[in-house]
Amino acid sequence: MAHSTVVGLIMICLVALYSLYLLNQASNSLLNASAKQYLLLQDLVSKVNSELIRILNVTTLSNTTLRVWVANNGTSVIMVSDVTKFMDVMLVYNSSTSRELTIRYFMYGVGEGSWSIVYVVNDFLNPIDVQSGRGGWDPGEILVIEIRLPTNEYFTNNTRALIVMSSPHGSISMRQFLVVYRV
Amino acid sequence: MSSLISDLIVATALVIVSSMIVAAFMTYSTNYISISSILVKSFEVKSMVSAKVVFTYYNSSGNEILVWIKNTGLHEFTPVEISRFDVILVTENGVEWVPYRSSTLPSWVYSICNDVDNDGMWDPGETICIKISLANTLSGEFKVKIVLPYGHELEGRGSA
Repeated sequence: MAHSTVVGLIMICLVALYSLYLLNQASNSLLNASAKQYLLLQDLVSKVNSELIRILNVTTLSNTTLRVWVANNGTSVIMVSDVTKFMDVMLVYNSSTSRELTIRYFMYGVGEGSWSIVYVVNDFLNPIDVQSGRGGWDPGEILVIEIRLPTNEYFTNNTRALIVMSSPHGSISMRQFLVVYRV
Repeated sequence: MSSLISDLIVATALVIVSSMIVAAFMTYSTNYISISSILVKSFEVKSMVSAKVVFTYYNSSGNEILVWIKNTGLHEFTPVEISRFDVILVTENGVEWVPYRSSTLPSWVYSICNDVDNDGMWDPGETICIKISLANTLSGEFKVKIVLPYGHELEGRGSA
């Protein structure tokens, strides 16, 4: 009697221990997943909150080209690889090809119908090398970009236009300007 | 002899009780793990979804509303998920739910402006343009409300 009771009690203890082990495993996996999620979100929130861009000035270089000065007024570095991939550049303008206002989204690139980085003012930290896609747009630095209209399209002279830009993590800046160029 | 039989009965009973306890705990643990996983997954997806309206514009020549939206979260939207967006148009004439790719107007379609990796997914950092083709010419102010799957709401305003 005593022998079988001991065996039974040992079995019940083993079952209890195994169940506790399973519960512990489940709690651990839950906590691990939550912790990873929390860290990812913390990183994202910090990036979103610390990014702030502002369009300072827009000038018309020619009937097809604009030059724009954009300041990083935030507290985080925006990597040049993110700038070239994820920065949104849009223009609303009067075009030679349409009587209505034209709205256009520009991709980063070379040639017509795109935008590109010309240089960075005060670029002493994380210098930008556009060719290799390295460097960072640091707080306080001013990015100078050029926007070129597609082939056979011109700005209508002496008309108002609007530029909309969005940073990789969604800081938006807009500015109205006058398109004026020498004919 | 009777002592041996009673020992066997007690041992068998204990084995049966132990098995029942094991089965009960195993079921409970499995349920707990699967429910926890579902909750974590749901929390993951919900917390990863974030987007921002960059610009809203009414194009009178095409009688369409264009809304540019940036994916500011961590979730990659599949084309199926995008097609399930609720697009609600609020004008001075009333409120209308706009279907995706409908054969009749109004209807909306989308394109990815900067599909960096060309995978057809709306990845973090990328921007989509939602084009709402209208049935009637718009006049006055309007509001476009977009509800993403998992409940994230966006709003774009403009005027015709």
